[in-house]
Amino acid sequence: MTRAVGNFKRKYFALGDLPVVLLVLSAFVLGLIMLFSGRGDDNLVAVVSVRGEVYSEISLAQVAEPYDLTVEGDESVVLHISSDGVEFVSSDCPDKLCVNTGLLTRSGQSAVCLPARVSVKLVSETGAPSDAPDAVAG
Amino acid sequence: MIKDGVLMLCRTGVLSAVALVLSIFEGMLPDLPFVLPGMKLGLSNLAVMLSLELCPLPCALCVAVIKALFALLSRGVTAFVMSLIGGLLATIGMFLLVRAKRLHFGCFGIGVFGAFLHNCGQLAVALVLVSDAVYGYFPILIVSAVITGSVTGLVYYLVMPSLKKLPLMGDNIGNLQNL
Repeated sequence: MTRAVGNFKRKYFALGDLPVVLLVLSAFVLGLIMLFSGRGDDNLVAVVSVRGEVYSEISLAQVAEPYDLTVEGDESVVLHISSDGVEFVSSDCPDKLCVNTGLLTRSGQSAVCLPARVSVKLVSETGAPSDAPDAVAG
Repeated sequence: MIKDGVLMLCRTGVLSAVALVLSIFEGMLPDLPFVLPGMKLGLSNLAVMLSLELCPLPCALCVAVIKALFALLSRGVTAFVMSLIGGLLATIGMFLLVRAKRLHFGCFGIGVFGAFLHNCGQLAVALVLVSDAVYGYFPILIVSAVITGSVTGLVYYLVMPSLKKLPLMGDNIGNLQNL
């Protein structure tokens, strides 16, 4: 009578690991494509979101003097906004991942503070090539 | 002879405790310099992997829920939802691999797949709760899943032979009567 449910004998590598590796690899490539597509670096707009709602949109080109913006999410965070980019400078959260992300300077980059539920992402105001179709079918 | 239900209850309890201890232990580890943002070792996933081998699926899901409740107590509501969704997704995914009949999966594959699903679940929750900006973390999370998953898989592989000797975890539970 075997009381253990599984066979409980397992190699470190087995044949089944191959599809797992392929799946993870393709997801990684997909993620990279998502991240690097639609990049245009002029007229950056910092979109600050709190709890999933857009809190404010700041056009970086119009920022003459760098300033700090305090955002009250579930925790309080401070963003430093300059014409070069935007970064988290402090947060009341325990792990400070948002601060460690550093300065965001390019379209598509983002920094997130999960405990505060505050995020910043840079989008390109005019860089989106959506005006001109890539291809026309039919 | 101990009834199966009692044995599974014992295993679930012990493995839940193991999951909590591993979570606490992981929190005590110093931050490594090369660690990617958002990367956690996920050692407590070991307990879930073990419970999948040793218990039916509901017990393993129980371990995942208890792990999430610990996250609620120690790190707040957002962490709870992320841990719960990620944990349940990883548990169900790894269950399919552990019990697969046709194809044999190694510790590496199960560990990486579990970490991958855990991170995907967390990212999905973050997308809803925080903002769609978090998708930028997706490639980072995948890289960290491969690293942490292979480490937890390796620990699992190394620990397994010793665990089998424990009366509660191995086949030979007759010894339990003499405790």
